[in-house]
Amino acid sequence: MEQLALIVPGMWADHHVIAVRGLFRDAEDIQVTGASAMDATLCLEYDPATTDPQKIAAQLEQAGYAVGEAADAANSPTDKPEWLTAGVRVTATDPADLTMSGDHRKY
Amino acid sequence: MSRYIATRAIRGAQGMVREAEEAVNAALVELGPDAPVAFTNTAYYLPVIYAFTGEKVEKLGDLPAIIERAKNLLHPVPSNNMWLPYLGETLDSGIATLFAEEAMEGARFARGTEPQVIKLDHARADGARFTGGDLGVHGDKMKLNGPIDDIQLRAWGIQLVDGRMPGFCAIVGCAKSNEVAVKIVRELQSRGILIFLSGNVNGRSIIHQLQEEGIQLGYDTFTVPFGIDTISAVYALGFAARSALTFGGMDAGNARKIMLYNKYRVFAFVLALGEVDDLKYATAAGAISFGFPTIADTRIPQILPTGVTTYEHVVSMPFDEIPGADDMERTEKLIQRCMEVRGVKVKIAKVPIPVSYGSAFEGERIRKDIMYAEFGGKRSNAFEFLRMKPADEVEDGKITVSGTDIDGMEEGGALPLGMVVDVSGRKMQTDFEPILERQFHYFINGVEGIQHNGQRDIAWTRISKSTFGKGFRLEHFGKVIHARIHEVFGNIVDKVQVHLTTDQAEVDELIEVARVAYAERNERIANLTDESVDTFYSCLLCQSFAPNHVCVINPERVGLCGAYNWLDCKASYEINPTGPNQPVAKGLVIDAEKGEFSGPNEYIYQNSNQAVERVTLYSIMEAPLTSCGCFEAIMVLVPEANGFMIVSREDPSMTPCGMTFSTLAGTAGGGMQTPGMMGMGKYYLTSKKFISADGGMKRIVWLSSNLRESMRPALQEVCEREGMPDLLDKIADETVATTVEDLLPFLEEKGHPALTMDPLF
Ligand code: SF4
Repeated sequence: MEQLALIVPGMWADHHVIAVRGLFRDAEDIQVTGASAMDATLCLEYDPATTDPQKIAAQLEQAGYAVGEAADAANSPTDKPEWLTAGVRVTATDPADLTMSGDHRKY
Repeated sequence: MSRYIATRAIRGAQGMVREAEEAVNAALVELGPDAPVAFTNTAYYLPVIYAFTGEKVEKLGDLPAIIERAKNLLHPVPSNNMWLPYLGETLDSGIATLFAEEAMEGARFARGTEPQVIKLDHARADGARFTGGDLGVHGDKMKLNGPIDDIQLRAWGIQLVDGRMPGFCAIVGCAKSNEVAVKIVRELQSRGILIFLSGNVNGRSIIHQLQEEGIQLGYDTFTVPFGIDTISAVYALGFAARSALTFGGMDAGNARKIMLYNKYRVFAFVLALGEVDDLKYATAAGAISFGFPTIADTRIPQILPTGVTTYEHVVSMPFDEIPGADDMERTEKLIQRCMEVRGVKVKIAKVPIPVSYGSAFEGERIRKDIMYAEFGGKRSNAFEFLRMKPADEVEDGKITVSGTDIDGMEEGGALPLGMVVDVSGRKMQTDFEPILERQFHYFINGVEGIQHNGQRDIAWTRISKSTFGKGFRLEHFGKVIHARIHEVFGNIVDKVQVHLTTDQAEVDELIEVARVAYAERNERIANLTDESVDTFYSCLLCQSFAPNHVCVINPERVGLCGAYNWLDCKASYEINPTGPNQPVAKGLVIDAEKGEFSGPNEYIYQNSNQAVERVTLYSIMEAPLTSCGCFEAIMVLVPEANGFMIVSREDPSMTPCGMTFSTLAGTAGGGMQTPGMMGMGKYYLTSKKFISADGGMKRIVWLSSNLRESMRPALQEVCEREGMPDLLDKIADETVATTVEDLLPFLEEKGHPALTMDPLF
């Protein structure tokens, strides 16, 4: 078996993990070894005698889970600003929040 | 505020709203706008949406407006070079997420794909079922619970208010191992915390883990599997929102009040197990708006106190870094931290037995296939008896066992069992004997792997194989009783000794002694009338949820929840003189027929925040008692029939007034006084004072069949007492009438007395 790691930006929450794992549930030549919604990564093992990364990617794409680039993992509708009707808003914030936020900016 | 969390939560909200919009649109195309959208058995529509906006979503066509509302709450993710204080944006996104998740679940319900049915990769080899209620494992499939229904919400009401259930924990994800998953649940259960399960990590959910380990899931064990994705975690917030509507009497649409109610009164928190993805952050942001913090067992940024929750908002406790000798100790510390972060006050019963103990085990079922031995029931006789003795005849902590112990029994065997408990105490009274004895049911049921039913000489106890395997023996029953009596009744009991016997001759001899005492007690209680006392008692327990509600409990009427009678309150006052049960002097009789007295009037005015000025104890038509949220049944005027109907909490059917129990309860509950509508404890039906000012039992024209059948012998006695032995069968139920049009001909055909009684108004 060969190993393969793919970025699947559409797998951004755990209901997508179930859907993606379900795609390969009954496949004998593909075994999902890990699916992370946190970083949209899908790790699998496949039998090179019967399938290959292109076929796997095509299968994923057909189910609505196109393989993408790492940067796409952060994909969100922000790229369509008209979809955001509220826009940026000024909020009154507890001063304690401001004081403490510094500690966590490293994230 | 962490920029990382804000980014992830806002991004998750955007994704969720977009997906909900797609799902709703697809469902609209497929099923049409009139396709019904309804969660299981609730009067609160899609509860988070209803609570926050007042919008009643009933069909698919109602959902696009909700999606628009959710969109209006969205914000762009924080940019890389401009760090604004984004707490407000994050919280908005959290609410948008909850709206979208609920809309998504609504669309799933419309399609019939909720509650989820999951496939089990590792179904138990023995094929045993470990779920309660409707939950079930069939082959390698398991049907999950989905949202909590209103019946259950109300049934838990009394436990929420009296502190047996101090809060709830929404677990999202998957624990480090099955062993840790079980330990987490046991730790929470032993504190009486209600547990909601949802979400997964890498496709694996804590629901899978608990199922594989044979942990009973369902309402009975306080451990409810919602679904294996994070979307279903919205049911936990729906539960919280409905608590405010049901018990707090809040109006739907009053989002701010509902959020504050939850912050101060509902002790809930989220426990995120395993990696946290965008949707989990977004959902957690929604929970934070309710005042519920999130504790994660992985490394994530923290959000320290800023006032939205009481203490920290997000706490990270990477599991492997928690100091501790092993994973079990680490789990204990994790749960302990959860309690601190939410400020949950828990009384843990410390009982020296080899298995876990807590009120969450009260509902466990021990089926034959997992039973090791039983006492009582069909195959043997068993009884429990508590008596007061002089101090010099009781040796505290003495536990004696005679006859064969459990380890001398064959697997699956049955033996008789007698349990005689002697107590002494300066403040103990004979009147309190039955009160203490009645608690044995709860005390014993709290043991993991024990099922106890009945009381007195119809007690029946089963012990599971695993509890026996962990070393549980007969003396442990004594230890449980000894420890719990001291803990709960420490103010009135000084010494407790317990004798247990499985010796048939001794059981037969002692049971006769007990029966004489049971008969004397029955007599005493029968002679206890409102006229024979000059003090009633109050119960203010439900004020933690319904601030204006006051129960006045007289000897001839139990509290609405059915859990407290006059003697209970009297004992409770002795135990805790500053507690929720206070003596209420009867004072002057203002109207003997309606049961209006000056004492209760003054008390209720002072203790209902001056919201209620007077109360009559024997009438529903004039100044009836207020109704909280956890009443066992509700009585409602049916003007066309010149009588009343009584709907039980367990009855989901439609009633002649055009509303189900849930809707009716929503109308009358929350601490309001509503003439013509009143919550009640079901045993009030058997009282001589049962709406005696309005005509008593003869006014009942409709009664839920489950109440009638479960209480038939007692109700029959009432009918005979009223001089109409055939009255019970003149009363309609949901099988014959769910509309007034069906009800009236039935009553006429049966010649129901209400039709010819004086007009009610
Ligand atoms: S007696 Fe009344 S106030 Fe007390 S717990 Fe029951 S319903 Fe609530």
